[in-house]
Amino acid sequence: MALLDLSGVHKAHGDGPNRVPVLRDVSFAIAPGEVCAITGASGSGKSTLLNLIGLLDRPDSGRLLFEGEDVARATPDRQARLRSRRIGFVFQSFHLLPRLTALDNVALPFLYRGLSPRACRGHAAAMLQRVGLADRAGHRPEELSGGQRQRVAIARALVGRPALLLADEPTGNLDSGAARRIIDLFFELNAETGVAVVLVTHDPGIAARCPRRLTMDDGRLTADGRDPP
Amino acid sequence: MTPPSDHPPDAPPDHPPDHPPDERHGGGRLRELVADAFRNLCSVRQRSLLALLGVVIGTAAVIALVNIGDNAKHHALSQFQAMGTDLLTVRREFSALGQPPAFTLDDVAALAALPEIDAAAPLAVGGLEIVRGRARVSLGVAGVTAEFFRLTRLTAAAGRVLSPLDARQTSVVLGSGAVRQLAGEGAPPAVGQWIRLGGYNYTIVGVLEPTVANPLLPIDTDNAVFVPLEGMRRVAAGGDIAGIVLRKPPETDDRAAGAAVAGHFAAPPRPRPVAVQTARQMIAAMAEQMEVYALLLAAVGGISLVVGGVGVMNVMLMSVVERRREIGLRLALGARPRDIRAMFLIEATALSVAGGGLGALLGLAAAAVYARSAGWDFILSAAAPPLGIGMSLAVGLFFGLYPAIRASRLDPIVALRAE
Repeated sequence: MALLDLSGVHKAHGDGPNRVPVLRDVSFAIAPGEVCAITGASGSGKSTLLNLIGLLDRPDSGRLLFEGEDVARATPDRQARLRSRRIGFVFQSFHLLPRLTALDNVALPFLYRGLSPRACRGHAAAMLQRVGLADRAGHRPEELSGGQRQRVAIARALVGRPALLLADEPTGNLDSGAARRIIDLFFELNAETGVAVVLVTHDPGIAARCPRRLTMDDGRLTADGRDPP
Repeated sequence: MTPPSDHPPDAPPDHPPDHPPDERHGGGRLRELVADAFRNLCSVRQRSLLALLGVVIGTAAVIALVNIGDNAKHHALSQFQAMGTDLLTVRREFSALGQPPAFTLDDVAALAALPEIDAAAPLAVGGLEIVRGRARVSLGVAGVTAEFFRLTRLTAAAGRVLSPLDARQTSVVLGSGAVRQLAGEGAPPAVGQWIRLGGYNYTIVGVLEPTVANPLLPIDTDNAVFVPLEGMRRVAAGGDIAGIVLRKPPETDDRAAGAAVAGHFAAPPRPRPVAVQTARQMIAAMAEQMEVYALLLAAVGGISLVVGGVGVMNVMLMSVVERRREIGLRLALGARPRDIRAMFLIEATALSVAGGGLGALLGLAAAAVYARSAGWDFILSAAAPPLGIGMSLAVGLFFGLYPAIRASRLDPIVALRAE
């Protein structure tokens, strides 16, 4: 069974005469454990597609199956539940809470599983150690470099053992060295935990490292390239 | 296709459990939510403090006023406790037509003979400046008979009260407040000494137990000197009987007793306009006054709380705007809209209850100071603390609801992109 299965997905933004189609008839599937890059020019619909996959938005029409479940019509609470248990997000601008330490930022997702983040600090610490930041657990985001912040964000995204990791321009705010190490980390974590990774990127170098590349152009999926296994 | 499941069979074995045994009831989670709310509020300390101020003042006003009202009621009741609620007084009603006729001792005797009345005592009042050593004080003077002390249950702490044998004597009984005033900085006047009243040397035969002024009597019995009625003309101008104090039997209805007394003065041979007042009437009037007062206080407190509540709402609305990215992130992490709503409601309530707690303390302190300056006993009103906490809780929930709902309706995609 595919982890994610889209068929004939349409999505438009705006109302009335200002309504602009953003996604047109997009169909593809992602298998568990797959690593896939989505590339394309600005405004080609990459981010909208990622939001749909991340259950932050709904398609206007078409079918969106997540682990076999039709989530296009799921209730907001059901979507929230799947986000908290099965999906992890990594953003270009990290989105760490400045008041919390790195450790508490990583433990935050447990709150929305009905657990006490404090009681789950052990899991968070283990995850921080895995991304190489065990010695920064007590630091606040402002005391960390960009690359370190993104590592904290990745730890937060993966601490709940999701099936799917979504990354929106995860290296957009990083220098090339830090960017390379972040992408390396994605591949390592994919290999260790089997989490599927979908990342949106402008960077052809990063896209080239992914075994599968989806190319978007004006709302359509124009290419689906795979490296031979 | 398999049915949707949150836990596919290939989930790693070290997957964090949904419900670790120690957190099953969510107590720790709520504690953390509240702690987090306070942390968030502290990060915008200045603004939180300003909003807090409104709630503090509102709660303090309500608590102070409720407690002062309670103390006033307690004080009013204590005024009647000593002399009982079977007292009546008759006073002259000043009419526009000529000189109001005075009461006579015959009236007193006639009233005492009424079946609705147990006892009657005449009372003449005046004021006098008394010089004793270096002290010079103005005191009320009451011209009374021996019956007056029995009727009003005033007893002597030292010496004795006036007796019928004092009628032609220059004997005086002092209220305990009068003794304090006459003492000035020197030794208090004692039984057996004399003081000078209106050119005569009066011998002190007794000092009364401390009393609380009874609003039925035309004189503050604690701060008065009592001389025999017969000698009243010597010390104070006029010296007429200004009123008659009466006691009815406990089983007689106070309206019937009042009507019987009024009937005596309405009947020939000398119909005169008089005002009859009973203790119960007075208590009812005071209660009514208190009700108006309480209503006023409620209005003042209510307005301040609304102002405080608007302050809370303002802080929370600004907080929602400033923390859009955080809200977006939390939604992406799996928060349901109701989780976001709860988070902001907890924050608004924490803010408001903190203000309410401070306000309650401040209000009680203000009430204590007021009671002290009014010479009342301070009694902690049982209703005050729960009222303060309850009100601020309600304000927080009510004024926090709108910002919380706004936060929960944010579109996560838009919120995540906010600057």
